[in-house]
Amino acid sequence: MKKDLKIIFTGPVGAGKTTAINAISDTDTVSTNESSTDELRYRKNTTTVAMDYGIINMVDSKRVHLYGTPGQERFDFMWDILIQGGMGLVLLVDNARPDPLEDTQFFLQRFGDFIQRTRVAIGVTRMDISSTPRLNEYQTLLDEQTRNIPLFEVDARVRQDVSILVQSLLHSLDHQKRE
Amino acid sequence: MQASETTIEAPPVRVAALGVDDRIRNSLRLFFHESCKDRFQLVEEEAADAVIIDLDHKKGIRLAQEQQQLHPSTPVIVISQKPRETGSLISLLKPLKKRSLAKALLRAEAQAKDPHNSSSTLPSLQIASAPVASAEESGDDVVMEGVPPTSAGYQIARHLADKDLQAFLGSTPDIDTSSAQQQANIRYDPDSFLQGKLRQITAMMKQKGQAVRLQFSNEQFIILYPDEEMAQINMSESRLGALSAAPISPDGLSFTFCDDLFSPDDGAAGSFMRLDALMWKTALWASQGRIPYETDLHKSVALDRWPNLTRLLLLPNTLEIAALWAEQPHSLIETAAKLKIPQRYVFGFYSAVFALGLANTGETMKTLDYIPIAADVGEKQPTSASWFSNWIPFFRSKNR
Repeated sequence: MKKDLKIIFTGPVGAGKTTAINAISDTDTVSTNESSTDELRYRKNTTTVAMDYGIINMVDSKRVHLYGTPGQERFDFMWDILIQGGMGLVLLVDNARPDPLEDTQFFLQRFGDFIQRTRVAIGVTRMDISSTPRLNEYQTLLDEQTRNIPLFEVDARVRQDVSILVQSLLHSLDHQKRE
Repeated sequence: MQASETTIEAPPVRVAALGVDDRIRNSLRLFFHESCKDRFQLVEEEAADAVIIDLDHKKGIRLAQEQQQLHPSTPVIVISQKPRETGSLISLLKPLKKRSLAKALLRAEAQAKDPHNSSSTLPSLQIASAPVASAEESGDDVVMEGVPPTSAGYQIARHLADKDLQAFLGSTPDIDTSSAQQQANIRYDPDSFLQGKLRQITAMMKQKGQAVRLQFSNEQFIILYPDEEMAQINMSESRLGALSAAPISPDGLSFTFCDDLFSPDDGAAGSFMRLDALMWKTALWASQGRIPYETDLHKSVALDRWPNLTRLLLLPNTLEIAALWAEQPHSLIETAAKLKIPQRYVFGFYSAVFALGLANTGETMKTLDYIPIAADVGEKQPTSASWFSNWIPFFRSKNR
Protein backbone atom coordinates (compact mmCIF):
# COMPACT_ATOMS: atom_id res chain seq x y z
CA MET A 1 0.00 0.00 0.00
CA LYS A 2 1.25 3.41 -0.85
CA LYS A 3 2.56 5.20 2.16
CA ASP A 4 2.88 8.82 1.25
CA LEU A 5 0.52 11.58 0.31
CA LYS A 6 1.21 14.46 -2.02
CA ILE A 7 -0.60 17.76 -1.83
CA ILE A 8 -0.06 20.62 -4.26
CA PHE A 9 -0.18 24.27 -3.23
CA THR A 10 -0.84 26.68 -6.05
CA GLY A 11 -1.94 30.25 -6.62
CA PRO A 12 -0.70 33.54 -8.01
CA VAL A 13 2.54 35.24 -7.09
CA GLY A 14 2.54 36.52 -3.53
CA ALA A 15 -0.45 34.50 -2.38
CA GLY A 16 1.59 32.86 0.37
CA LYS A 17 2.31 29.39 -0.98
CA THR A 18 5.88 29.34 0.30
CA THR A 19 4.79 30.79 3.64
CA ALA A 20 1.95 28.31 4.01
CA ILE A 21 4.20 25.34 3.32
CA ASN A 22 6.70 26.73 5.79
CA ALA A 23 3.95 27.15 8.34
CA ILE A 24 2.88 23.53 8.23
CA SER A 25 6.04 21.68 7.27
CA ASP A 26 7.94 19.74 9.89
CA THR A 27 11.23 20.22 8.17
CA ASP A 28 13.02 23.13 6.67
CA THR A 29 11.37 23.69 3.37
CA VAL A 30 13.26 23.51 0.12
CA SER A 31 12.57 26.65 -1.78
CA THR A 32 13.85 27.69 -5.15
CA ASN A 33 13.31 31.38 -4.84
CA GLU A 34 14.96 34.07 -6.91
CA SER A 35 14.92 37.81 -6.62
CA SER A 36 11.74 39.16 -8.06
CA THR A 37 11.64 41.07 -11.26
CA ASP A 38 10.85 44.76 -11.03
CA GLU A 39 7.16 44.27 -11.60
CA LEU A 40 6.96 41.99 -8.59
CA ARG A 41 9.44 43.64 -6.33
CA TYR A 42 6.90 46.00 -4.83
CA ARG A 43 5.02 42.96 -3.60
CA LYS A 44 7.73 40.63 -2.43
CA ASN A 45 11.48 40.38 -2.57
CA THR A 46 11.72 36.86 -3.85
CA THR A 47 9.53 34.64 -5.92
CA THR A 48 9.47 30.90 -6.44
CA VAL A 49 10.72 29.83 -9.84
CA ALA A 50 10.70 26.05 -9.63
CA MET A 51 8.89 24.80 -6.58
CA ASP A 52 8.62 24.74 -2.82
CA TYR A 53 8.77 21.50 -0.99
CA GLY A 54 7.97 20.60 2.57
CA ILE A 55 7.23 17.44 4.48
CA ILE A 56 4.97 16.52 7.33
CA ASN A 57 6.35 13.50 9.11
CA MET A 58 3.95 11.11 10.72
CA VAL A 59 4.78 8.86 13.60
CA ASP A 60 4.39 5.69 11.57
CA SER A 61 6.96 6.78 9.00
CA LYS A 62 4.37 7.98 6.57
CA ARG A 63 4.93 11.39 5.11
CA VAL A 64 2.87 14.11 3.56
CA HIS A 65 4.72 15.83 0.74
CA LEU A 66 3.80 19.44 0.16
CA TYR A 67 4.66 20.91 -3.22
CA GLY A 68 4.25 24.56 -4.04
CA THR A 69 4.04 25.61 -7.65
CA PRO A 70 5.77 28.73 -8.90
CA GLY A 71 3.28 31.57 -9.07
CA GLN A 72 4.50 33.22 -12.21
CA GLU A 73 2.80 32.01 -15.33
CA ARG A 74 6.03 31.93 -17.27
CA PHE A 75 6.96 28.94 -15.14
CA ASP A 76 3.66 27.21 -15.65
CA PHE A 77 5.30 24.35 -17.52
CA MET A 78 6.25 23.24 -14.01
CA TRP A 79 2.66 22.99 -12.93
CA ASP A 80 1.78 19.88 -14.89
CA ILE A 81 4.94 18.22 -13.71
CA LEU A 82 4.30 19.03 -10.08
CA ILE A 83 0.72 17.79 -9.98
CA GLN A 84 1.66 14.30 -11.13
CA GLY A 85 0.84 11.92 -8.34
CA GLY A 86 -0.95 14.63 -6.40
CA MET A 87 -3.97 13.72 -4.32
CA GLY A 88 -5.43 17.19 -3.96
CA LEU A 89 -4.94 20.88 -4.54
CA VAL A 90 -4.72 23.81 -2.16
CA LEU A 91 -5.35 27.06 -3.99
CA LEU A 92 -4.22 30.23 -2.28
CA VAL A 93 -5.53 33.51 -3.67
CA ASP A 94 -4.08 36.90 -2.78
CA ASN A 95 -6.98 39.22 -2.04
CA ALA A 96 -4.77 42.28 -2.44
CA ARG A 97 -4.07 41.62 -6.11
CA PRO A 98 -5.91 43.66 -8.73
CA ASP A 99 -8.46 41.00 -9.63
CA PRO A 100 -8.39 38.06 -7.24
CA LEU A 101 -11.67 36.68 -8.53
CA GLU A 102 -10.20 36.43 -11.99
CA ASP A 103 -7.12 34.80 -10.47
CA THR A 104 -9.37 32.24 -8.82
CA GLN A 105 -11.14 31.50 -12.03
CA PHE A 106 -7.88 31.23 -13.89
CA PHE A 107 -6.42 28.65 -11.52
CA LEU A 108 -9.63 26.66 -11.27
CA GLN A 109 -9.67 26.41 -15.04
CA ARG A 110 -5.95 25.81 -15.37
CA PHE A 111 -6.10 22.92 -12.92
CA GLY A 112 -9.61 21.93 -13.90
CA ASP A 113 -8.83 18.39 -14.99
CA PHE A 114 -6.76 17.74 -11.90
CA ILE A 115 -9.45 19.15 -9.61
CA GLN A 116 -12.06 17.06 -11.36
CA ARG A 117 -10.09 13.94 -10.56
CA THR A 118 -9.27 14.97 -7.01
CA ARG A 119 -10.44 17.86 -4.83
CA VAL A 120 -9.50 21.47 -4.12
CA ALA A 121 -9.63 23.71 -1.07
CA ILE A 122 -9.28 27.46 -1.42
CA GLY A 123 -7.67 29.88 1.02
CA VAL A 124 -8.01 33.62 0.49
CA THR A 125 -4.99 35.41 1.90
CA ARG A 126 -4.15 39.02 2.73
CA MET A 127 -7.73 39.93 3.55
CA ASP A 128 -6.27 42.09 6.28
CA ILE A 129 -4.66 44.20 3.56
CA SER A 130 -7.67 44.24 1.27
CA SER A 131 -11.04 43.23 2.65
CA THR A 132 -12.66 43.12 -0.77
CA PRO A 133 -13.76 41.14 -2.58
CA ARG A 134 -15.55 39.45 0.29
CA LEU A 135 -15.78 35.70 0.68
CA ASN A 136 -19.36 35.69 -0.51
CA GLU A 137 -18.19 37.07 -3.85
CA TYR A 138 -15.84 34.13 -4.12
CA GLN A 139 -18.71 31.88 -3.14
CA THR A 140 -20.82 33.28 -5.94
CA LEU A 141 -18.02 32.46 -8.32
CA LEU A 142 -17.72 28.97 -6.87
CA ASP A 143 -21.44 28.37 -7.20
CA GLU A 144 -20.71 27.82 -10.86
CA GLN A 145 -18.57 24.84 -9.95
CA THR A 146 -20.13 21.42 -9.77
CA ARG A 147 -18.74 20.81 -6.32
CA ASN A 148 -19.03 22.44 -2.96
CA ILE A 149 -15.49 23.70 -2.46
CA PRO A 150 -14.05 24.55 0.97
CA LEU A 151 -13.27 28.27 1.02
CA PHE A 152 -11.72 30.07 3.98
CA GLU A 153 -10.00 33.27 4.88
CA VAL A 154 -6.43 32.27 5.61
CA ASP A 155 -3.35 33.84 7.08
CA ALA A 156 -0.62 31.82 5.41
CA ARG A 157 1.70 32.52 8.34
CA VAL A 158 -0.63 30.84 10.78
CA ARG A 159 -0.19 27.13 10.98
CA GLN A 160 -3.69 26.57 12.26
CA ASP A 161 -5.26 28.31 9.28
CA VAL A 162 -3.21 26.27 6.84
CA SER A 163 -3.92 23.11 8.78
CA ILE A 164 -7.68 23.69 8.64
CA LEU A 165 -7.42 24.26 4.91
CA VAL A 166 -5.51 21.03 4.38
CA GLN A 167 -7.84 19.10 6.69
CA SER A 168 -10.86 20.31 4.76
CA LEU A 169 -9.26 19.02 1.59
CA LEU A 170 -8.52 15.64 3.14
CA HIS A 171 -11.99 15.26 4.58
CA SER A 172 -13.50 16.17 1.23
CA LEU A 173 -11.38 13.51 -0.41
CA ASP A 174 -12.30 11.03 2.26
CA HIS A 175 -16.04 11.43 1.96
CA GLN A 176 -16.00 11.61 -1.81
CA LYS A 177 -14.00 8.46 -1.98
CA ARG A 178 -16.39 6.37 0.04
CA GLU A 179 -19.05 6.67 -2.60
CA MET B 1 -16.02 15.17 42.27
CA GLN B 2 -15.85 11.45 42.07
CA ALA B 3 -12.65 11.46 40.10
CA SER B 4 -10.66 12.75 43.06
CA GLU B 5 -9.81 9.25 44.20
CA THR B 6 -8.29 8.35 40.90
CA THR B 7 -4.73 7.31 41.18
CA ILE B 8 -2.56 8.77 38.50
CA GLU B 9 0.04 6.22 37.71
CA ALA B 10 1.39 7.65 34.50
CA PRO B 11 4.92 8.99 34.61
CA PRO B 12 5.10 12.75 35.06
CA VAL B 13 5.14 14.96 32.02
CA ARG B 14 8.52 16.66 31.91
CA VAL B 15 8.24 20.38 31.32
CA ALA B 16 11.06 22.83 30.66
CA ALA B 17 10.66 26.55 31.33
CA LEU B 18 12.71 28.75 29.00
CA GLY B 19 13.30 32.47 29.34
CA VAL B 20 11.87 32.62 32.85
CA ASP B 21 13.58 33.74 36.02
CA ASP B 22 14.20 31.62 39.09
CA ARG B 23 11.17 32.95 40.92
CA ILE B 24 8.82 31.81 38.19
CA ARG B 25 10.68 28.56 37.91
CA ASN B 26 10.18 27.93 41.62
CA SER B 27 6.55 28.91 41.37
CA LEU B 28 6.04 26.43 38.59
CA ARG B 29 7.78 23.73 40.59
CA LEU B 30 5.48 24.40 43.51
CA PHE B 31 2.44 24.50 41.26
CA PHE B 32 3.33 21.17 39.72
CA HIS B 33 3.76 19.61 43.12
CA GLU B 34 0.94 21.15 45.13
CA SER B 35 -1.79 21.59 42.60
CA CYS B 36 -0.97 19.01 40.00
CA LYS B 37 0.14 16.32 42.43
CA ASP B 38 3.41 15.93 40.56
CA ARG B 39 1.71 15.10 37.32
CA PHE B 40 4.18 17.55 35.80
CA GLN B 41 7.85 17.82 36.56
CA LEU B 42 10.17 20.73 35.88
CA VAL B 43 13.24 19.59 33.92
CA GLU B 44 15.95 20.99 31.68
CA GLU B 45 15.24 21.58 28.03
CA GLU B 46 17.00 18.49 26.75
CA ALA B 47 14.72 16.14 28.67
CA ALA B 48 11.46 17.97 28.15
CA ASP B 49 8.21 16.53 26.84
CA ALA B 50 6.75 20.03 26.70
CA VAL B 51 8.13 23.55 26.96
CA ILE B 52 6.97 26.81 28.50
CA ILE B 53 8.51 29.95 26.97
CA ASP B 54 8.22 33.55 28.14
CA LEU B 55 7.89 35.55 24.93
CA ASP B 56 8.58 38.79 26.78
CA HIS B 57 12.09 37.63 27.57
CA LYS B 58 14.61 39.22 25.23
CA LYS B 59 15.30 35.84 23.67
CA GLY B 60 11.76 34.56 23.99
CA ILE B 61 10.72 34.76 20.36
CA ARG B 62 13.97 33.25 19.17
CA LEU B 63 13.61 30.45 21.71
CA ALA B 64 10.11 29.72 20.44
CA GLN B 65 11.26 29.71 16.82
CA GLU B 66 14.16 27.42 17.61
CA GLN B 67 11.92 25.12 19.53
CA GLN B 68 9.54 24.81 16.59
CA GLN B 69 12.36 24.19 14.18
CA LEU B 70 14.36 21.76 16.27
CA HIS B 71 11.54 19.98 18.07
CA PRO B 72 8.41 20.54 16.02
CA SER B 73 6.50 17.79 17.75
CA THR B 74 7.18 19.09 21.25
CA PRO B 75 4.20 21.06 22.57
CA VAL B 76 5.00 24.67 23.44
CA ILE B 77 3.16 26.93 25.86
CA VAL B 78 4.03 30.59 25.34
CA ILE B 79 3.28 33.29 27.88
CA SER B 80 3.28 37.01 27.19
CA GLN B 81 2.03 40.33 28.50
CA LYS B 82 0.17 41.20 25.31
CA PRO B 83 -1.67 39.01 22.85
CA ARG B 84 0.63 37.81 20.12
CA GLU B 85 0.20 35.81 16.98
CA THR B 86 1.47 32.44 18.05
CA GLY B 87 0.05 30.13 15.44
CA SER B 88 -0.61 26.71 16.82
CA LEU B 89 1.34 27.27 20.02
CA ILE B 90 -0.60 27.18 23.25
CA SER B 91 -0.82 30.77 24.32
CA LEU B 92 -1.32 32.29 27.77
CA LEU B 93 -1.52 35.91 28.80
CA LYS B 94 0.09 37.34 31.88
CA PRO B 95 -0.74 37.59 34.66
CA LEU B 96 -0.90 33.85 34.77
CA LYS B 97 -3.95 32.29 36.23
CA LYS B 98 -3.83 28.91 37.79
CA ARG B 99 -6.85 27.61 35.93
CA SER B 100 -5.54 28.68 32.55
CA LEU B 101 -2.11 27.32 33.25
CA ALA B 102 -3.50 23.96 34.32
CA LYS B 103 -5.56 23.71 31.17
CA ALA B 104 -2.65 24.69 28.99
CA LEU B 105 -0.53 22.01 30.64
CA LEU B 106 -3.23 19.43 30.01
CA ARG B 107 -3.33 20.33 26.35
CA ALA B 108 0.44 20.11 26.17
CA GLU B 109 0.29 16.73 27.87
CA ALA B 110 -2.27 15.48 25.38
CA GLN B 111 -0.12 16.64 22.50
CA ALA B 112 3.03 15.16 23.96
CA LYS B 113 1.54 11.78 24.70
CA ASP B 114 -0.64 11.38 21.68
CA PRO B 115 0.06 13.39 18.56
CA HIS B 116 -3.20 12.04 17.11
CA ASN B 117 -5.24 13.24 20.03
CA SER B 118 -7.86 15.71 18.91
CA SER B 119 -9.82 16.05 22.07
CA SER B 120 -8.49 19.45 23.00
CA THR B 121 -9.46 21.72 20.21
CA LEU B 122 -9.99 25.39 20.02
CA PRO B 123 -12.33 26.30 22.84
CA SER B 124 -9.59 26.05 25.38
CA LEU B 125 -7.47 28.48 23.41
CA GLN B 126 -9.99 31.15 24.11
CA ILE B 127 -10.16 30.39 27.75
CA ALA B 128 -6.43 30.63 27.93
CA SER B 129 -6.52 34.24 26.86
CA ALA B 130 -8.51 35.51 29.80
CA PRO B 131 -6.20 36.59 32.58
CA VAL B 132 -7.77 37.10 35.98
CA ALA B 133 -5.37 37.00 38.82
CA SER B 134 -1.81 38.13 38.99
CA ALA B 135 0.83 35.67 39.92
CA GLU B 136 3.90 37.48 38.78
CA GLU B 137 3.23 41.12 39.26
CA SER B 138 1.58 40.85 42.64
CA GLY B 139 4.31 38.65 43.91
CA ASP B 140 1.87 35.90 44.66
CA ASP B 141 2.85 32.41 44.06
CA VAL B 142 1.31 30.69 41.08
CA VAL B 143 -0.71 28.73 43.60
CA MET B 144 -3.34 31.18 44.70
CA GLU B 145 -6.32 31.41 46.93
CA GLY B 146 -9.74 31.23 45.40
CA VAL B 147 -9.10 28.03 43.54
CA PRO B 148 -11.24 25.06 44.53
CA PRO B 149 -9.63 23.32 47.45
CA THR B 150 -8.03 20.57 45.95
CA SER B 151 -8.05 17.32 44.92
CA ALA B 152 -5.63 16.89 42.09
CA GLY B 153 -5.30 19.96 39.92
CA TYR B 154 -5.33 17.63 37.02
CA GLN B 155 -8.87 16.51 37.63
CA ILE B 156 -10.01 20.03 38.30
CA ALA B 157 -8.54 21.24 35.07
CA ARG B 158 -10.06 18.38 33.13
CA HIS B 159 -13.39 19.05 34.71
CA LEU B 160 -13.13 22.70 33.67
CA ALA B 161 -12.17 21.75 30.13
CA ASP B 162 -15.19 19.48 29.90
CA LYS B 163 -17.39 22.25 31.18
CA ASP B 164 -16.10 24.60 28.51
CA LEU B 165 -17.11 22.14 25.85
CA GLN B 166 -20.43 21.59 27.56
CA ALA B 167 -21.19 25.31 27.31
CA PHE B 168 -21.40 24.85 23.56
CA LEU B 169 -22.35 21.22 23.07
CA GLY B 170 -24.13 20.29 26.29
CA SER B 171 -23.78 16.86 27.80
CA THR B 172 -26.85 15.03 26.56
CA PRO B 173 -26.09 11.42 25.68
CA ASP B 174 -27.13 9.99 22.34
CA ILE B 175 -30.87 9.59 22.08
CA ASP B 176 -33.04 6.69 21.12
CA THR B 177 -34.94 8.11 18.17
CA SER B 178 -37.94 5.95 18.91
CA SER B 179 -38.45 7.78 22.18
CA ALA B 180 -40.65 10.85 21.78
CA GLN B 181 -39.49 12.15 25.12
CA GLN B 182 -35.85 11.93 24.19
CA GLN B 183 -36.57 13.57 20.85
CA ALA B 184 -38.31 16.43 22.64
CA ASN B 185 -35.40 16.90 25.00
CA ILE B 186 -32.98 17.72 22.23
CA ARG B 187 -35.00 20.52 20.70
CA TYR B 188 -35.09 24.25 21.30
CA ASP B 189 -36.63 27.32 19.76
CA PRO B 190 -33.90 29.54 18.29
CA ASP B 191 -36.29 32.48 18.05
CA SER B 192 -36.54 32.60 21.83
CA PHE B 193 -32.82 33.12 22.16
CA LEU B 194 -30.38 35.81 21.16
CA GLN B 195 -29.56 33.58 18.18
CA GLY B 196 -33.02 34.10 16.71
CA LYS B 197 -33.19 37.79 17.60
CA LEU B 198 -29.88 38.33 15.88
CA ARG B 199 -31.08 36.56 12.78
CA GLN B 200 -34.23 38.66 12.60
CA ILE B 201 -32.50 41.94 13.32
CA THR B 202 -29.65 41.21 10.94
CA ALA B 203 -32.11 40.53 8.13
CA MET B 204 -33.77 43.88 8.76
CA MET B 205 -30.42 45.62 9.01
CA LYS B 206 -29.28 44.28 5.67
CA GLN B 207 -32.49 45.38 4.06
CA LYS B 208 -32.21 48.85 5.54
CA GLY B 209 -28.46 49.15 5.09
CA GLN B 210 -28.07 50.89 8.40
CA ALA B 211 -26.25 50.03 11.62
CA VAL B 212 -28.39 48.74 14.45
CA ARG B 213 -27.89 48.90 18.19
CA LEU B 214 -29.12 46.05 20.36
CA GLN B 215 -29.64 47.26 23.88
CA PHE B 216 -29.66 44.88 26.82
CA SER B 217 -30.24 45.62 30.44
CA ASN B 218 -27.37 47.05 32.49
CA GLU B 219 -26.29 49.29 29.62
CA GLN B 220 -24.80 46.42 27.73
CA PHE B 221 -25.12 46.64 23.98
CA ILE B 222 -24.12 45.21 20.64
CA ILE B 223 -23.86 47.34 17.51
CA LEU B 224 -24.10 45.59 14.18
CA TYR B 225 -22.59 47.17 11.09
CA PRO B 226 -24.08 45.99 7.79
CA ASP B 227 -21.36 46.98 5.34
CA GLU B 228 -18.45 45.64 7.34
CA GLU B 229 -20.44 42.68 8.66
CA MET B 230 -18.95 43.32 12.06
CA ALA B 231 -20.33 43.56 15.58
CA GLN B 232 -19.14 45.77 18.40
CA ILE B 233 -19.84 44.15 21.75
CA ASN B 234 -19.46 45.96 25.04
CA MET B 235 -19.71 43.04 27.39
CA SER B 236 -17.48 40.24 28.50
CA GLU B 237 -17.34 36.91 26.76
CA SER B 238 -18.92 35.21 29.74
CA ARG B 239 -21.75 37.74 29.86
CA LEU B 240 -22.39 37.27 26.15
CA GLY B 241 -22.42 33.53 26.72
CA ALA B 242 -24.94 33.85 29.54
CA LEU B 243 -27.18 36.10 27.44
CA SER B 244 -27.01 33.67 24.55
CA ALA B 245 -27.67 30.53 26.57
CA ALA B 246 -30.95 31.64 28.16
CA PRO B 247 -34.18 32.64 26.43
CA ILE B 248 -34.51 36.40 26.05
CA SER B 249 -37.45 37.92 27.89
CA PRO B 250 -39.61 40.41 25.95
CA ASP B 251 -38.17 43.36 27.83
CA GLY B 252 -34.65 42.00 27.89
CA LEU B 253 -33.66 43.37 24.50
CA SER B 254 -34.55 46.39 22.42
CA PHE B 255 -33.00 47.62 19.22
CA THR B 256 -32.78 50.84 17.27
CA PHE B 257 -31.28 51.71 13.94
CA CYS B 258 -28.54 54.26 14.27
CA ASP B 259 -26.06 56.22 12.21
CA ASP B 260 -22.99 54.87 13.95
CA LEU B 261 -20.10 54.35 11.61
CA PHE B 262 -17.80 51.43 11.95
CA SER B 263 -14.68 52.63 13.71
CA PRO B 264 -12.48 49.89 15.08
CA ASP B 265 -10.41 52.40 17.02
CA ASP B 266 -13.37 53.44 19.14
CA GLY B 267 -13.94 50.18 20.90
CA ALA B 268 -11.85 48.48 23.50
CA ALA B 269 -9.43 45.87 22.22
CA GLY B 270 -11.26 42.66 21.53
CA SER B 271 -14.68 44.26 21.51
CA PHE B 272 -15.22 43.65 17.80
CA MET B 273 -16.31 40.37 16.35
CA ARG B 274 -17.22 39.29 12.87
CA LEU B 275 -20.96 39.04 12.46
CA ASP B 276 -20.85 35.45 11.26
CA ALA B 277 -18.65 34.51 14.21
CA LEU B 278 -21.14 36.14 16.59
CA MET B 279 -24.10 34.35 15.03
CA TRP B 280 -22.21 31.06 15.03
CA LYS B 281 -21.24 31.35 18.65
CA THR B 282 -24.60 32.54 19.94
CA ALA B 283 -26.19 29.60 18.14
CA LEU B 284 -23.83 27.15 19.80
CA TRP B 285 -24.46 28.68 23.21
CA ALA B 286 -28.23 28.48 22.69
CA SER B 287 -28.15 25.03 21.19
CA GLN B 288 -25.88 23.30 23.70
CA GLY B 289 -25.95 20.26 21.51
CA ARG B 290 -29.66 20.55 20.65
CA ILE B 291 -31.45 21.23 17.37
CA PRO B 292 -34.14 23.71 16.32
CA TYR B 293 -37.70 22.51 16.93
CA GLU B 294 -38.72 21.69 13.40
CA THR B 295 -35.61 19.80 12.42
CA ASP B 296 -36.26 16.36 11.02
CA LEU B 297 -33.66 14.04 12.47
CA HIS B 298 -33.97 11.67 9.55
CA LYS B 299 -33.98 14.14 6.70
CA SER B 300 -30.79 14.53 4.76
CA VAL B 301 -28.80 17.70 5.34
CA ALA B 302 -26.48 19.24 2.80
CA LEU B 303 -24.12 22.12 3.29
CA ASP B 304 -24.85 24.88 0.80
CA ARG B 305 -21.48 26.51 1.35
CA TRP B 306 -18.62 25.93 3.72
CA PRO B 307 -18.63 28.26 6.73
CA ASN B 308 -15.46 30.31 7.07
CA LEU B 309 -14.09 27.85 9.59
CA THR B 310 -10.72 29.48 10.07
CA ARG B 311 -12.51 32.41 11.71
CA LEU B 312 -15.20 30.54 13.64
CA LEU B 313 -15.17 28.63 16.87
CA LEU B 314 -14.09 25.16 15.86
CA LEU B 315 -15.56 22.35 17.91
CA PRO B 316 -14.70 18.65 17.75
CA ASN B 317 -15.37 16.99 14.38
CA THR B 318 -16.58 20.20 12.77
CA LEU B 319 -14.46 19.70 9.65
CA GLU B 320 -15.53 16.08 9.24
CA ILE B 321 -19.21 16.92 9.43
CA ALA B 322 -18.83 19.88 7.08
CA ALA B 323 -16.99 17.80 4.50
CA LEU B 324 -19.52 15.01 4.70
CA TRP B 325 -22.46 17.35 4.19
CA ALA B 326 -20.66 19.20 1.43
CA GLU B 327 -20.05 15.97 -0.43
CA GLN B 328 -23.06 13.82 0.40
CA PRO B 329 -26.30 14.71 2.15
CA HIS B 330 -26.81 12.73 5.35
CA SER B 331 -29.38 12.94 8.08
CA LEU B 332 -28.25 14.05 11.52
CA ILE B 333 -28.60 10.56 12.91
CA GLU B 334 -26.79 8.99 9.97
CA THR B 335 -24.01 11.53 10.31
CA ALA B 336 -23.33 10.71 13.94
CA ALA B 337 -23.39 7.01 13.19
CA LYS B 338 -21.20 7.26 10.12
CA LEU B 339 -18.57 9.41 11.78
CA LYS B 340 -18.90 7.53 15.07
CA ILE B 341 -19.24 10.70 17.09
CA PRO B 342 -21.69 11.83 19.78
CA GLN B 343 -24.96 13.03 18.34
CA ARG B 344 -24.72 16.31 20.22
CA TYR B 345 -21.63 17.25 18.17
CA VAL B 346 -23.69 16.88 15.01
CA PHE B 347 -26.68 18.66 16.52
CA GLY B 348 -24.54 21.58 17.67
CA PHE B 349 -22.89 21.93 14.28
CA TYR B 350 -26.25 21.75 12.55
CA SER B 351 -27.63 24.51 14.76
CA ALA B 352 -24.64 26.70 13.98
CA VAL B 353 -24.82 26.27 10.21
CA PHE B 354 -28.59 26.68 10.44
CA ALA B 355 -27.99 30.06 12.11
CA LEU B 356 -25.81 31.10 9.19
CA GLY B 357 -28.36 29.87 6.69
CA LEU B 358 -26.00 27.28 5.28
CA ALA B 359 -27.87 24.10 6.16
CA ASN B 360 -29.95 22.76 3.34
CA THR B 361 -32.52 20.07 4.05
CA GLY B 362 -34.03 20.27 0.61
CA GLU B 363 -31.29 18.11 -0.88
CA THR B 364 -30.74 20.68 -3.58
CA MET B 365 -27.02 20.48 -3.18
CA LYS B 366 -24.81 20.54 -6.20
CA THR B 367 -25.03 17.49 -8.34
CA LEU B 368 -22.02 15.38 -7.69
CA ASP B 369 -20.41 13.35 -10.34
CA TYR B 370 -18.82 10.93 -7.88
CA ILE B 371 -15.83 10.31 -10.03
CA PRO B 372 -13.71 7.83 -8.12
CA ILE B 373 -10.65 9.48 -6.76
CA ALA B 374 -7.37 8.45 -8.17
CA ALA B 375 -4.09 10.15 -7.87
CA ASP B 376 -2.97 11.88 -11.00
CA VAL B 377 -1.00 10.14 -13.70
CA GLY B 378 0.63 6.95 -12.68
CA GLU B 379 -0.90 6.61 -9.25
CA LYS B 380 -3.11 3.76 -8.18
CA GLN B 381 -6.16 4.39 -6.17
CA PRO B 382 -5.70 3.39 -2.55
CA THR B 383 -7.53 0.23 -1.69
CA SER B 384 -8.53 0.99 1.85
CA ALA B 385 -11.72 2.96 2.32
CA SER B 386 -10.19 4.63 5.32
CA TRP B 387 -6.97 5.57 3.62
CA PHE B 388 -7.49 9.30 3.88
CA SER B 389 -9.03 8.99 7.28
CA ASN B 390 -5.74 7.67 8.53
CA TRP B 391 -4.10 10.98 7.78
CA ILE B 392 -6.66 13.29 9.20
CA PRO B 393 -6.10 12.83 12.94
CA PHE B 394 -2.53 13.78 12.38
CA PHE B 395 -3.49 17.09 10.82
CA ARG B 396 -5.91 17.64 13.65
CA SER B 397 -3.04 17.42 16.06
CA LYS B 398 -1.20 19.96 13.93
CA ASN B 399 -4.11 22.26 14.40
CA ARG B 400 -3.36 23.30 17.93
